[in-house]
Amino acid sequence: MKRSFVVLSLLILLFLLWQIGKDYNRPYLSYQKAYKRLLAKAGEGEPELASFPFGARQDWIVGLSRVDRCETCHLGVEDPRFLNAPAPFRAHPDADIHPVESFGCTVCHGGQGLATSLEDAHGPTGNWNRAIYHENFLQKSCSLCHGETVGESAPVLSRGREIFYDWGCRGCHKVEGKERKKVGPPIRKIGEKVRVDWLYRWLRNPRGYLPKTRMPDFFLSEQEAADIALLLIPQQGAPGAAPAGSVERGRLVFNESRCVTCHAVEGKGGIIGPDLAKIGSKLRPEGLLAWLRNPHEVNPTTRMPVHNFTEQDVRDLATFLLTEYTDLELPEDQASRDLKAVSKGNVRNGKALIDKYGCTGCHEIERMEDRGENGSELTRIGDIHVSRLDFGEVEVPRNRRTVPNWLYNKMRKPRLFKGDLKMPDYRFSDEDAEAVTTYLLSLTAERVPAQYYHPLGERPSDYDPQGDFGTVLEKYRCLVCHRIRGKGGVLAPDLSREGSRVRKEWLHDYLRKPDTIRPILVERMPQMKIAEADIRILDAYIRAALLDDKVENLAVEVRGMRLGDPEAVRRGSRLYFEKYACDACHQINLKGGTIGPDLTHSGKRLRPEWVILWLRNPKAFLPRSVEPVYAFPQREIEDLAAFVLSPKAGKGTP
Amino acid sequence: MTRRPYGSRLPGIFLLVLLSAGVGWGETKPPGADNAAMRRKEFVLPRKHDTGLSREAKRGRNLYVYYCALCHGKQGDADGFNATNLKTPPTRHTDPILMGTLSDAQVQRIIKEGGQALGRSPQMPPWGGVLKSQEIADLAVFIRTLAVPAKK
Repeated sequence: MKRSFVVLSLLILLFLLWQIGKDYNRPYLSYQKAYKRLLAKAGEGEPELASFPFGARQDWIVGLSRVDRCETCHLGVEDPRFLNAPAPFRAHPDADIHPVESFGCTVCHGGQGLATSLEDAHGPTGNWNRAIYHENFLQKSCSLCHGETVGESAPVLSRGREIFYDWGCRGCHKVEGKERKKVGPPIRKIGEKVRVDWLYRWLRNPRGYLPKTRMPDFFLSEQEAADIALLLIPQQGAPGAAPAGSVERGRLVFNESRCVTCHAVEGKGGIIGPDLAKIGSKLRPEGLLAWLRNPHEVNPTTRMPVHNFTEQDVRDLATFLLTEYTDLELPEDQASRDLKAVSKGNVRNGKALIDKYGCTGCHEIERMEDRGENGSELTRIGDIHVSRLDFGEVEVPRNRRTVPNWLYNKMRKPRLFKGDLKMPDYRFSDEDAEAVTTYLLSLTAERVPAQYYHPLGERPSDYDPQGDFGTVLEKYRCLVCHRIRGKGGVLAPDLSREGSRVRKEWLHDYLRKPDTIRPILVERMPQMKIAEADIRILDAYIRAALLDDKVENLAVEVRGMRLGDPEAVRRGSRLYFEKYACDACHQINLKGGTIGPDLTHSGKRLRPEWVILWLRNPKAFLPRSVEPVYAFPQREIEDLAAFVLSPKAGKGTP
Repeated sequence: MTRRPYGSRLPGIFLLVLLSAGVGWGETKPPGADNAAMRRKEFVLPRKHDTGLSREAKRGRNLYVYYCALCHGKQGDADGFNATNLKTPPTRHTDPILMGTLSDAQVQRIIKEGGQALGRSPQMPPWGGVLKSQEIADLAVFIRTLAVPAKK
């Protein structure tokens, strides 16, 4: 009895000592000792070193209801001397913008803030869902405070968002508060436009026809492709006669209309419309003729403008396209073989396949307009618990099973996890797969208190002109390339203040026959033969609404300047060529650089008030311009403006 | 049609069982295991985009591509699209000997005040009105990474 009492007492004593030792030798202490040595190396004073506070540290971020103990090991995170120190002591690169005491760590990086061991803090561990985010996906957190449209401040997140909505993800996946947009062309009377054998090949392998298409690969079997093709084009007669136009004149119309601004031919040219290199193997002649006459009647949502071609133009252009741009690699008997394959299709199966694969997510299909989203809802995909994600046949070690890893692999190979999945493959590059994953992770129910909310980037614009001007803008699809008040493309100049920039007469001439202001661009304003009545509508609106008061208010001051004085022009010319070497970037009479616009005709083109304002501060008008800001004295501004606006007769001047 | 007693089928069934067992003998893996192994290999983890550049140099690179590459070229080879339009060709930032003659302060001064500040071509404009001093410093750091000193 006595002996067992002694043994038990000893055991309890040992247990006690072990517990004390365990408590003393916390795993983080080794980091703190290493940090202290680094501090000594960095020249920290003796007294500070002697009173180095060992022990757990934590930041309590009251506003975000977070307690982060990360600084227990990440000790140098706020110390600029540790910017290039080894992990885990490295200072935070943006400590000045996002100080730890206001934000903590886990709100952006994820991880378990309360944990004080590496495994528990970084995760994944146990049921902790929010393992620390890989740096490639980190921008997902920017949207918490800064909103989705963060632009250049978070390029990966912005790219992911762009892909999500422009490539049609929203067509099949519901995201609350986001409008469903069908990004593919509507499939109506498609049999009149395309050849059914082309449709069959396209369904089997979209990238075989258009290497850069957004249409994903559904890995359809021959039978499946035939079923769908036969449903979409139940019967197709022989194609109409080829238009008997002139190939040579068609080529001329093709070049004059600057089709390559939007369409590439074998990879060379714009990216707004599809590559035309194999168009002759896709379209039926009558389909192409109808399209060229008025594309908006065939597809109301196309980005192609109305070109006001004459009937002769249409015939010649169609002849040119159909004879010059055919698929030369296509075997001669391929079309008839494909036709035979389609004839074995089953219409009823075709309908079931369209429902299974969710074609209606991107395409409006006749008699199937009522179909909703057929993918899973993604409104809170960023919050999902990893146990709800199916890794299927793929064995992944437990510490790699995280939501971001699953999403990333799903984006790279949508059918990786199981054989019978239906999501199509977009052939994303690794970068794009990361971007989409980042955007998906940003879709959470998490919200920050108002004092943290700080939206960045350009808000989506609700500019939507009505009436005649709106109709003309739509007819010529101006906002595909140009931008007005934040709405539209970025390929061509922003027109929000165009009325204050260019002269009325020049604008008229330009709209009638656009010439080249920037000589090296491939994407030049297409020649659309804009009707006189439409030009008047455009001009009236531009003169009345697209103005800038900073320019307009200069009118009186500029009238007092002697911009026509030949002496001023001579002085300006010396400044232009010698002192400031403006010709390094601007051309006059075909001489000079090609970074800025050609200035040969700027006297006819630009308004003097605008030139003065631009010379004072180009960034006031165009913040992203690469024009350097020179801070010219007033005298030189007037002389330079006088020279730029003066007529410059010579070679290259009509 | 007369029904045959089951007894006459028994040897056949027995044979079938034997056969399938024989077929199964060689297979130790469950069906689809090869597939699973292949898929396991295809599961990838995100890789860090390591450019080997410091933070300053990365910021500098973005500015360089936007403002400088038009003449100096994306890699600093003086082959930007506007290079041939210049009377004096742009400085080749990949040239270690040439870049060795310029101190960091001089590089920053040329960016800030233009080529004329050091008696060079006015075709190099001053960027002091556009770029903040931190941005100019970042640019200078990046430009230094372009010239690889000749190996001895």
